[in-house]
Amino acid sequence: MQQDLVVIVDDDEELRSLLKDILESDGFQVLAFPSPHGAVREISGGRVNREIKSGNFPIVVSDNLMPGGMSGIDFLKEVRRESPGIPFIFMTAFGDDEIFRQSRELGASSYLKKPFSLNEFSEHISMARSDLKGQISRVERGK
Amino acid sequence: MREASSKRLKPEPKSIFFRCVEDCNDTVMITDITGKIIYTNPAWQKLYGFSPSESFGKTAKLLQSGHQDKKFYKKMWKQISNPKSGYWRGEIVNKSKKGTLLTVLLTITPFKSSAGEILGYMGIATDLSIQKILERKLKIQEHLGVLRHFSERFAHEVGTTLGVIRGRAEFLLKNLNDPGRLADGLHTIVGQTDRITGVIGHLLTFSRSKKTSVSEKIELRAKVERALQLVEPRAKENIIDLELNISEELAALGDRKRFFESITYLVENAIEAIEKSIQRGKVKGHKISLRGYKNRSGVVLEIRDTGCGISSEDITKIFQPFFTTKDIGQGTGMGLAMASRFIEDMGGEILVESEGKGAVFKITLPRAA
Repeated sequence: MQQDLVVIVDDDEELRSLLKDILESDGFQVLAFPSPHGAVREISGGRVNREIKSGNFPIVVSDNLMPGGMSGIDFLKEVRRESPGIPFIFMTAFGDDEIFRQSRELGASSYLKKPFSLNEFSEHISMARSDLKGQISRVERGK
Repeated sequence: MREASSKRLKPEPKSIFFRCVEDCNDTVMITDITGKIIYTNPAWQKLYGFSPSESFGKTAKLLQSGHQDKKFYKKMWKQISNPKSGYWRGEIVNKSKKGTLLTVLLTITPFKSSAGEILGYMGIATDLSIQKILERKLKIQEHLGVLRHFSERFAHEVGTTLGVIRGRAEFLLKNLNDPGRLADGLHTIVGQTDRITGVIGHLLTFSRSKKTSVSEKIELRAKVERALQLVEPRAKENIIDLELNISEELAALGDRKRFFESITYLVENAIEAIEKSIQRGKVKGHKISLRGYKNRSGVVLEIRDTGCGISSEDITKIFQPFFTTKDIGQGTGMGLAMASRFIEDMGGEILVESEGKGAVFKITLPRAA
């Protein structure tokens, strides 16, 4: 069976490595980026893009506040331009209602406030995964 | 006919001046030479709430709010009676009949007889209370804006770090039987705790820093050499040339410790900018040059690097606390903020220039005699 793919974007090296360890021990394949730029390249043209084209959607987990001129909100817009079906889990430190509303309007699937517990994180991932499976089976039924 | 029209053009001076003073929106108060009130205009009566019968014959003490001390009034009268200045102008807080405090911009001028003898004094004032309230509101809004930016950055820095600590600990609980993971995870937790301690420490140093009266002789070359020693391993690792062009006798005035910390942050910043440029593919020919010289404003230390440069958008924010462009979550964005704070607290100035490639930081400090 093919492993499910998760794309992580966070400027914090330690957080990236933690999320990677958690997801890998749960059997996911993980690609982690320090800024949205690399992730956008992968999603619109690289390996992730090929996976998307063959129907294997990744789950995206992204921070909002990152250096380099592109925020999580900007990144979400880019991802949505590529595909409306990619689950996008949005993270911010302590949370901000305005950003939360914005991410929702732009089609983020869920919202995580840092610091979060591993259980919360795993719940959000499995929610995104079941969304994805639902979508795929709907597509297959429609065929 | 001609006479009549010319009459209309020539106002009667006394009545015209009286009407002007009566209708003036600024307050006018006239006292005799002993300071007793002999006239107030309607604007004055409206602002302070005293009718002519309540105020005439009394002195201006009627309006005293207690916000100015004796020294203040002494100085004011000294200036009014000094024939060279001949008047006093300044902001003063008065009190109305109801007890409301009113900030006014007041001018007191003596008026004289044709023989030059002082007959009394007139005070003309503009009520600044509304302006003061607006100024205060604006200031509060500015403060709130800065506070918001501060707390968002702080929350991001601390929230992420706490997230790692919590997550690592939970992950370890799930993997207690894996000794390799245990050691790694505990190391991360210790490191992240230090990071939060560092952020809070920096923030406090930054906010507690005050103008310093310490005025020691700082030998520039010796201090710069010590700062360079700290970064030498990192410079060697990245093949960065360190160039020093400061004469032995060049000395500034200030707080040695703060000066040393400031240049350490600036040199570290230069190294980081070059490391970033190396990551982007420009590997060779990097240099940090430090030059010291005297000019009219004092002693200047220039720190020039061949690093990635600063965008025009970032250059205005570079001295703000928690501002960072580092890709990896290592820097707290406090180094340059503290460097500029320290230099300014020593009565110096720090400027930055960058045109695409590289950057120059210019510190100016008072010169030691």
